[in-house]
Amino acid sequence: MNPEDMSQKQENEIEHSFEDRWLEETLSRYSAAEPRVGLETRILANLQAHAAQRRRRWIYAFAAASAVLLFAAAIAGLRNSKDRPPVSVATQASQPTMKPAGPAATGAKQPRKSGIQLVHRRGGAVQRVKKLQLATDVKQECFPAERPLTEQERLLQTYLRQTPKEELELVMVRQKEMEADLEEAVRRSEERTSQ
Amino acid sequence: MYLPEQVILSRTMAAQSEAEQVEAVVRQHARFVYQVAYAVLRHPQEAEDAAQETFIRVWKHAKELSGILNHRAWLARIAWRVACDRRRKHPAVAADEDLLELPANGIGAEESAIRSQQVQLLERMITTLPGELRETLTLSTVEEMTSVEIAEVLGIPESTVRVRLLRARQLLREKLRTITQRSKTGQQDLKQEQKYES
Repeated sequence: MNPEDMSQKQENEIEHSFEDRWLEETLSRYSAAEPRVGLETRILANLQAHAAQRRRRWIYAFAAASAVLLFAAAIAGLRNSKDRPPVSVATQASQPTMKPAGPAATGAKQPRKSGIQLVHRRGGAVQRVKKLQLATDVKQECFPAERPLTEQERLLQTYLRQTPKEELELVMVRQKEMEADLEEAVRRSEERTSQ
Repeated sequence: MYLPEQVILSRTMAAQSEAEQVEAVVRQHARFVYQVAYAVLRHPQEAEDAAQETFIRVWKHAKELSGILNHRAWLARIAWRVACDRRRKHPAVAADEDLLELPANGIGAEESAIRSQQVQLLERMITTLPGELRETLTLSTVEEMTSVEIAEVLGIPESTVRVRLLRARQLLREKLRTITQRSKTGQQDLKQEQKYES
């Protein structure tokens, strides 16, 4: 082999080994950076701060949720109190004079304010005395107004439920007879007066 | 009031055992995580921020620690992803020369400057490599990182890691040869010019 070729070959080998060495050494230093002293302490302190922050966030979230729930409950309570219908005022209650009468009246509730007074005589005869009661109605917001039954209407409803049909018919007949007698009496008195 | 470091985490974490585990992982692998981050970001402060974020994620997944066999590979994968995300969001920041510390082994300033230049040259050469070769080679430069761990971080087979490393080094060698020949040619031209001048 030519000495010149030998030296060229050796030169190439030297260059290759230089390149390899250079690469190896430089690669080994590439990521060999050292952190600042106290890295572990700083990391642990940061984790502690992070944990405390997370705990505070949970507390704030819980407080906000509680506040929202309380507010919603307060709003719901206010709405319920507004929606409740005003109580109708019944005035001028008559003296309740429910007297025990026939079996139909047994068990009837004693009214606090009665508009219809029923006087039951012994023997089943019934004389009805009617008193008109005016109750001031609360102005309703819609027309026709749906309103609950008055005291008088409830009493009448109760009486009609409990009284047998025959007795009711007898009462009607008696009522008509009384009205006829009253008209006759009024007519006679007018005739006497004119004479 | 002085709080021993081993008490810091224990007071804040729910489970004592998890806190102790995290603390042990921090003490054992903080430097390694930093170096993985630095290999990507090439900036000391950015690397430390990435390391902080890595351990925050570790803390959030502290329950998984007991089930992990290789903490190094797991940490390296997290640190790698964190660093890559940061690099995407924040373009490369030039390292402040004041932050670069002199090696502790007593090397002089001149030698340190030479080594720093060599590393910068290598850094520029690595950026010219294809993406997958660059990633594999970057991870291989982290101290004591094995090809198995690199494979786990990148999610590729170990054989692929070795092939990529061989290919990357070959390319770097060729680039270095080109640079060396250019510099030799330049030196020869310079000598000739000096000869003519004299």
